[in-house]
Amino acid sequence: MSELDPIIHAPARLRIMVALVELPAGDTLSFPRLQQLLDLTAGNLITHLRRLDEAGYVTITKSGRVTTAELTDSGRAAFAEYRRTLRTLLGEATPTSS
Amino acid sequence: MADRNLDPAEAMALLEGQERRVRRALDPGEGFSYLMWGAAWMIGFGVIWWQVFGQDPYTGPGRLAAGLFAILLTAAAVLSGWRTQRALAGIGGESARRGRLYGLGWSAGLLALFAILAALGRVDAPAPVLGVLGVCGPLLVVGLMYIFGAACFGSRSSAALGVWLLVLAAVVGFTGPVVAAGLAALLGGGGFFVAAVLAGRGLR
Repeated sequence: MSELDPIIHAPARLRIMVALVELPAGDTLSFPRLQQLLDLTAGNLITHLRRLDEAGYVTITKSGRVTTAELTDSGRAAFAEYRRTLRTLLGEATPTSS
Repeated sequence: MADRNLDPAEAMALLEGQERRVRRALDPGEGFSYLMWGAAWMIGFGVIWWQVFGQDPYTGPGRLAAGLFAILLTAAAVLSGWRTQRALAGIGGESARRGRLYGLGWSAGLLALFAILAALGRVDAPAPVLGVLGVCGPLLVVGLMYIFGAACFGSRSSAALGVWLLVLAAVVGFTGPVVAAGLAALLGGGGFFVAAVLAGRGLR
């Protein structure tokens, strides 16, 4: 119950999830913009994005020369659960939604 | 950044820090846009009012005042559009589609209004009619666009501003073209400044 999702619980992947969860459902973020928001190298970013993609949390789409990333519904739910678990571990009151 | 283990407090600090950073970066600067529009509106309509004040009979503003108003509105549109574009760069999907349609609504609505004014001028409509429509038309189009913006993006300051501009559009025409221009400058421009304050206080 109080275990943090190991897919999200790594600095780079946590920050990627935060950036993508800030967008409304159905929105995508381009690879260069994501890189700019996170200050990650291209190699580092793609490595962690692939890991999130394999877990079903993120969808990576390549259209021509543009690569975009989007949070899936299960990614959104996993992030909400991760945040709830963090709050529980830190002894904060758990809200009904986050 | 190295992929290392985090303790819960570190993870929460990282999460909240990144959240603040992303929110700042993606903020389209609603308050900045209201300030640009408020200044353009107040100066533009103010100069028009100053030109037509005391005219008897009313002949309307000169080309210089009308041209200045058009330049100010274009400058406000370009500046606020540039800021929005910079914040929303790289975002695709549903929000981008809505944003494109919203932008189209602004330019198509104002162009249609200017075309109607030109058409009325072509059939020699009386100057006071052009004067009233020249004030109430922009109030109507811009008011509607802010209400559409509130519907699309959920901004409460935008909804409040839209309703205020529509109230002015419905009322100021009855005061005649001279007083209407003054009221549009003062109460219309003032409305943008109030909306900027509301947006700054987090009423989004």
